[in-house]
Amino acid sequence: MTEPHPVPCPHCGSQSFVDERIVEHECGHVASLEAVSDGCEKCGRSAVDEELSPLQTIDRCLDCGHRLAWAEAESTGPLPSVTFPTLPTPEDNLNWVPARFVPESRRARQFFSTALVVMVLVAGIAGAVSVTPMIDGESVGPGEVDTSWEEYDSIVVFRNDDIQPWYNQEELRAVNQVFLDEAVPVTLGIIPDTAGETPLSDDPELCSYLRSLEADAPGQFEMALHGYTHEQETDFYDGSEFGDLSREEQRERLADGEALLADCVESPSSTFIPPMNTYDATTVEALDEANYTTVSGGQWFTDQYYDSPNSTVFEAGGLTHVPETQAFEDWSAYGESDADEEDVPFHDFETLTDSFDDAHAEGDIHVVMLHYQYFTTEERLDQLESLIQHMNDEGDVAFVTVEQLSVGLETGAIEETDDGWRVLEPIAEVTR
Amino acid sequence: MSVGESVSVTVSVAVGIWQTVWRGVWAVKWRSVALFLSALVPFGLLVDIMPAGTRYAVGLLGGLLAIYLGWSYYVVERAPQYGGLFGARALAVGVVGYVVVIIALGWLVPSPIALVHLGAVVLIFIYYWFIAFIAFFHDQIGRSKYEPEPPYPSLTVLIPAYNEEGYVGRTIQALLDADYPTDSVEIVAIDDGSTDETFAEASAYAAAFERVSVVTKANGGKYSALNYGLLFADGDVIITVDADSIVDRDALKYIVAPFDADETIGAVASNVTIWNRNSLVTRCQQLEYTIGVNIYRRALDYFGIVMVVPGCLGAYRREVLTEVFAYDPDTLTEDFDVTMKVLRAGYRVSVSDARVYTEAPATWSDLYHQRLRWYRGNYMTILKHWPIVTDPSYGYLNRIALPFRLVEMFFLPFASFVVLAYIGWLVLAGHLLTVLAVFVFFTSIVFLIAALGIQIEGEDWRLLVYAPLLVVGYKQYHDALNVKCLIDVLTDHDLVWTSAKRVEQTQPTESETAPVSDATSD
Repeated sequence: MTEPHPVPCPHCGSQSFVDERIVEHECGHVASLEAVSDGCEKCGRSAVDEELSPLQTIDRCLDCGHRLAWAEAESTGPLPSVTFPTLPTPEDNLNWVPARFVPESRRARQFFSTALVVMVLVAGIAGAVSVTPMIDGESVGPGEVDTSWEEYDSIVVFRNDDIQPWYNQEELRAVNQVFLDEAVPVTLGIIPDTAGETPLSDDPELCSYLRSLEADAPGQFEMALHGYTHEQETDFYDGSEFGDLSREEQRERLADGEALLADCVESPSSTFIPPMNTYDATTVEALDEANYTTVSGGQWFTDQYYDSPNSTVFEAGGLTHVPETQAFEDWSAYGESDADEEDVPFHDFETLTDSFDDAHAEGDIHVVMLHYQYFTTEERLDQLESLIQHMNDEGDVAFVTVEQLSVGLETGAIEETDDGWRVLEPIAEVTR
Repeated sequence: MSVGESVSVTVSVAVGIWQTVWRGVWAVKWRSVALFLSALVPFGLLVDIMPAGTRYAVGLLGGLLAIYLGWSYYVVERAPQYGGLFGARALAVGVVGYVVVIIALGWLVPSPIALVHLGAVVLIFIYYWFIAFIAFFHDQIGRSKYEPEPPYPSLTVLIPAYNEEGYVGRTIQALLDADYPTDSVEIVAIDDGSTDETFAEASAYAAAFERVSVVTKANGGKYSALNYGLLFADGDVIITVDADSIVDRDALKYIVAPFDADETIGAVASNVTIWNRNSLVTRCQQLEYTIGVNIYRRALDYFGIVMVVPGCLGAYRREVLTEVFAYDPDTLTEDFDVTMKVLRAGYRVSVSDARVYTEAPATWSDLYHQRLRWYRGNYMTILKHWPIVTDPSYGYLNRIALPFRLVEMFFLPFASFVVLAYIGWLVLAGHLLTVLAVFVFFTSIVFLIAALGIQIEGEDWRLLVYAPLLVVGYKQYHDALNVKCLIDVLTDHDLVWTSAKRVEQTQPTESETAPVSDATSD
């Protein structure tokens, strides 16, 4: 094995070389056959022949251990000609700008680059800023609303009227708490300037309370305009604030009320609730001009004025009409008896449940009107709670606000089916 | 001291302070600062339009992660005795607990879409305000600027080559041209049983230059060629260069500089730059590299846990490579695998300013073959080094690098498709405008991140044109590939080395896939 080698060792000049067989073990370790004879250094296993693959046999210097890499000088040709491609470098990054635009001096070039950065930055920010309102407005950012169709037998709307400054605020909170506890939405009819003497702006506490409802229970409380002064101005259908007033006067009342409500709550709804549940075609026109979508009077009134429309909720004059179908309070008994002026009697529980049961059986829309100020006792609050529970026990009932119902019907998110209704839930999000 | 003296002292102190401040102001890279801070605008808008619940949920998770990162920094740097407390596993448990809490509090309506959406928002926040911040900070203080200075260590450059005719000569020539003391460099080209003229091409250089040598062996794969080449290496530092790469003139000096500066650095990565930027697909890749290298890797470099020393150009201390027994046959990405081994042996892995030019796959199908190997290799390597995930003694590697990597490899590709399906639904439901708006919005964020990367690297501003593709298109292509590769690895397909065709090889070799790696055929 130790014959003189044609090429001396480049390290020590020795001409004594030995053949070395280089093998690879299963584990990937590459070494001379000699080195793995006692087992693989890397994996510690024995290295039998089957686990070894030969790679090459090379010459190793006996004196210094250097492995000779290459020993066939005669088999090579001339150096191949090598061409390098054009390599991008940081220096010529302005190459793509036509030469006449690139400034000569270093300082001016720096300024040029900075201007480029500023342009990029402005473009990035402008892109984000310009589309944000679209994302916000539609409020359907990725994953924000996960909607699904739900089937219901009937629809129930609660309308709580006469919200006003100072008056029976504890009752207001107690009634709202019932709706919060039962997770049922409700439309609040807010009087902007009661009797022309108490504007909402006088009671910031009420306004901040209403805003807290909007923030903490989004979509559950609809903030609707309930007239302007709530005073009876005409004898239209036994009393009305708007009906029979001149067009100009109706417009003014509406605009003034709207302004007061807008300063009080975060997002006023597009529903108008006329006091005494009465309004005329002029009211509807004025509402339509002011971009209201919905008017909610009383069914006893719409049946006469609109000549018994064939459904509870109907379209007329460009607005959706969602009249109240059942009052919580028994107003006829109030007028007849000489009882306590303060306490309007309620219908008995049976009347209320029967009225709902009928609507439910028909798969109809049931709109309950109530006035918070009369819920002065625990029993009265319990009656409201029991009514909601009764409705829930009866079957699949969709609870919505006036606006959700009206917008849902308009956009197709609420649809009548053969045996009831289907609603795209969460309806509060869908109709926002 | 007279009044005049005290005045002049005061003045000179004031001038001194002023000069220091002035130098400091000059040292700040204001363009990067502007780009970094400009992202406050889109993020501010994002927070503004979020529902309150999402805002709280993002805030809570941000807080949880901030505590985790702060704690990680504390235990790794100051109090290793607490290393076992609140580690990566505890974080995983914490995140599950977090999801339960936010659902219970009603901040999140439980559905896959909502979870993915929240995850995406949180990741965007983390990516920018943690990763981009560290990278930005890293760039500002010039941490990676290890200045090369003599004495230079002796180098052995290993060039594994399989059928690289027409390429290997150029690679050797670029190395010969490199600015480095000639008596400290030896270049070993390893012909891995090529069937073309690779050996002859390299041998011509070996004959002409004493510092070049060529070895040849039976075909066995890149790992095997590198292991074989190590037998002939005498240098203190081992450099590996792919046979299709062209090193920059200063690359060798820059890549060894960190070894001199820090004893605990075991390996050093380079900056990979694509030279054939003449098509959409290569420009997209360059933008991807620019963001990946400059944003992501700089953040990891701050902790000394750069996770991949690229095969194109990398440097290792010889004794470190020997200590970990060099390359293993059991993954498809030997560069990622060996870097993990170096990290697990307790060494830091750092980046350098060494530049290497590579030819990127120029068609979608070539890119497909390249990434098939990369992504399969990534999953194989992560699964192979799974103990890092569970063993807190690995410090930052366990606490920071792996959690990020796992989310990136196992959550993001799937989330991408949930999002895509949701977008499809939105379009069908008539919310086309919203979809477009969301697209523009996220593009603007990616745009700003890309701009920061380009500014830091001094790259070509025109690449910004491709930022939208990194949101839609290019991104989903890679996500789909990742999903496929994960499934392949888990179902143990016949995972052979797939390689891209070469632009400059006019005569295509017999098979596109090299006959390599018997590792997975068991």
